Amino acid sequence: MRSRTGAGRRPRPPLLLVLPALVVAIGTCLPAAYLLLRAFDADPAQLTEIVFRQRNLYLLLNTLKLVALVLALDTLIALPMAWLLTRSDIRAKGLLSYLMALPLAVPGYVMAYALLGLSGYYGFARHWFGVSLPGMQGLWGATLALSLYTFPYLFLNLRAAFMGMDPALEETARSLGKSRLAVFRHVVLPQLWPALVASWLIVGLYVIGDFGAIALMRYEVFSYAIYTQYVGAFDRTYAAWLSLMLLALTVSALIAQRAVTRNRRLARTGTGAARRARPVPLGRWRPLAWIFVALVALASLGLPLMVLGHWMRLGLPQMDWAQLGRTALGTLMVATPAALTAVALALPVVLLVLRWPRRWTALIDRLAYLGYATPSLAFALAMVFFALQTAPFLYQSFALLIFAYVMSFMALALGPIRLALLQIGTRQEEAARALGASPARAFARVVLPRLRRPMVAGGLLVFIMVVKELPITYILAPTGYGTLALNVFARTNEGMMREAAPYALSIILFSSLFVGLILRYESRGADAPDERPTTGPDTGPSTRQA
Amino acid sequence: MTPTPLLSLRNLSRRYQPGGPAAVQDLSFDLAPAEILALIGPSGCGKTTTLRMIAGFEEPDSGRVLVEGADATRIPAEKRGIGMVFQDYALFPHMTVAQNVLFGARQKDAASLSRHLSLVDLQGFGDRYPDHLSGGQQQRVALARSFAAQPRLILLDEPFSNLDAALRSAARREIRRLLKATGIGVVFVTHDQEEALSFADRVAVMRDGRLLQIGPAAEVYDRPADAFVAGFLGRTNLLEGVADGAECATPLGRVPLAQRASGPVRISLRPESLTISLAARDADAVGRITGVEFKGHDMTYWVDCGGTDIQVDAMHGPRLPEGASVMLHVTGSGMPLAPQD
Repeated sequence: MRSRTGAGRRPRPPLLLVLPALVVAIGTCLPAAYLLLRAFDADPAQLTEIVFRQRNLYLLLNTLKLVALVLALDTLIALPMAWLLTRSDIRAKGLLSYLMALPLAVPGYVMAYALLGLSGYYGFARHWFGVSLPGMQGLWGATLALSLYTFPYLFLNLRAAFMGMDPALEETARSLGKSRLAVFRHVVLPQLWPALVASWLIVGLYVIGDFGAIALMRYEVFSYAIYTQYVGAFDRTYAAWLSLMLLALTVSALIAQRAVTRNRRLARTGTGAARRARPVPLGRWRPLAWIFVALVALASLGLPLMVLGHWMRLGLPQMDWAQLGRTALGTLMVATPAALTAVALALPVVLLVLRWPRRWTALIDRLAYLGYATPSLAFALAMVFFALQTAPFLYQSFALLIFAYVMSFMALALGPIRLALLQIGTRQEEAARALGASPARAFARVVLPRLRRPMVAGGLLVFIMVVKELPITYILAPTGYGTLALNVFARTNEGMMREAAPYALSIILFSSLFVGLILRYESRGADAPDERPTTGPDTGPSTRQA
Repeated sequence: MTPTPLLSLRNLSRRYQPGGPAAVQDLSFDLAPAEILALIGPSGCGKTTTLRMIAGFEEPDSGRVLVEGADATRIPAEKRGIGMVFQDYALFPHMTVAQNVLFGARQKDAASLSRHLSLVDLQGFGDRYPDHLSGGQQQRVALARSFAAQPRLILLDEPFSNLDAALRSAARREIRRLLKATGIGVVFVTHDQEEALSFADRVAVMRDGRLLQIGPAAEVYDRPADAFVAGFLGRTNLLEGVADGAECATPLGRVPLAQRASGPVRISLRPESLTISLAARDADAVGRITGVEFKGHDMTYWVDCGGTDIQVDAMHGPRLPEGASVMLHVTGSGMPLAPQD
């Protein structure tokens, strides 16, 4: 008779899942490891000089200033907007919500391009309105460029939070004699807090890691300094140190977020679905609300499109269509395998985490997210060090480029797949096994077909990120290879606004197409109609006797 | 000589955390071919864990599962020949009814499909998708899917809990007829005593991972082993008394016993084993009615008999008001209970 003291036998996960997960774990650890290796590759005297350089503090302060300003501006835009488009009686909420999500399709460097193209002596503003706006460079230009395309993250999260909130709480508070303002402060705001902090983190990480917009605005933060070190001064040890500091900043932001949102109980305690809140009439504030909405839409969407249109018109005569087509195709050829590989790696990671919950599987999951949070400039630099040190033939190869894309964006595919697998549950697989199917066949027949949608959604997310990606492409691209993003950046950087316009427009077009696709695929979740008995007359056995 | 049991559990134990409480402890029972057994108990008593160990989705820490006398403890679920129908039916939503039914079928031909669909009275539903079926229909598809794989034994997890109350008793009768016609053995889990008693041949009552009593439904109801079983399967009155063989002296007078006992005992006396009548004189009354529950075809009275509340079910007779002084007469017999820990 067998007897054990453990908690049953814990089946071991199949190797087919473990191997890809290990690739993910190693791949996402590589950057930190190689940055460390490279950073300590200097003599001690030089090391202390580098680490305690006055300039580091200056860069840190600049970075923090930028983060704070962007978050403040984003909140000022997104919080009222989210409230307006969920709680007020403003019209066309659906269309406006879509418009407010659309700036996601405008990459930061395109937004920076638009702002730069607007201002200055040759700018759009002077050409059309005769107003010569001061050059928008430095802190304020960078703040504006980053805010105008990152506020949708905040808006979407806050909108979801507003919609998920139980209006009964507010009604109860008001019936207890609190004013609308007091209710907002004491009931609504605490409930928005997690969404607010989560989106601050996302936007903060973007700002810390952003490179394109900041480089074009010539504002000195870590990423810009790394770029100039790497490209100009070619001091790679210092570049490695700056990258490590950037990484440390990222990790502390992640830790801070966990600390801030821990131990908060905000789940609805009651049962049943939340009712829709009764819309608050805007009354005489209505015109002001519309002005606000119009202003935001104009600044975030109208401005880049107008400026692009302007430069496009000027540049159309000398337009090199063949070159644009080649570049677009080249971008596709890299983004497609990257997206496919990312999904192929994401599936085993999610399966391991959900079906074999262990400490090490949870760690791999975390590492995948760390890969995503690692500033891509730091990631790219680490890949250069890695390639030069271990496999020089990989340096500036497509393989390394795609590998870097996959490791930094794979986490985007985890979410949709995880959600779908949670919705599907394990019951149906067990049912299939009780009908004689092996575990592999049960998964392939019962679960995999229903993962198609979320896998496509995840793949699209990765794809769009690769199309927009700048630093990784900039540093790792093989000689002679250029993506759309690279063309926009290089040309804008040299003031060639006219030549950059078609590439920037293509990216926006590409991206907005994919944003639409993603919304379509993501909103449906798992390909699973609810199998609970719902509508329709119930013809039970008793009434259906022949 | 008795035939080999279809299923035997031998000292099954399972705990989820080392050192934690046992979900199932030292559980043993046999299931005869074509028999229907109900595992019943309050939630968290280990009945679903037991079912999952039989199916092969959980491994016991110790003990064995024998299918037709052969050890199946380490055999993977798909090789046991045991079907399982889940509480939510777990139909494959991306497959039609026909694809669902044929998923594990031994014979994947049209004849087999129509035979299994007509078995559950769903002819012509083959091309529908599960989300276009009612709850009762989905359940029957799940059953047909299990039958088509020709298992030796089918496990049902809370099979009727997702059906409307109105549909439940009809579905119960229909499915019991089906199961009996196919001759497949069944173990099913429920927390509904009425379901257990009406659906099963034998009932196994579990509590805290242990088997308290197993036996034919009527026997477990009439002769519960202890106060928990008596209270869980139906309502009962617990009376302290002194037994002297075939009878027992209680506050309600002498009560005949279903099982001989002697000395101080606690007995279970079902509410339907008593009749109630208005006391002509106060001196005759044993108590006063403190509560009346009118349930349509019968009534339940709560009678305060010198500090003990006694329940009485009455089908006929005058409807008595609250506060009335009444007499009680014992018409059935009491069951002496094992002392409880």
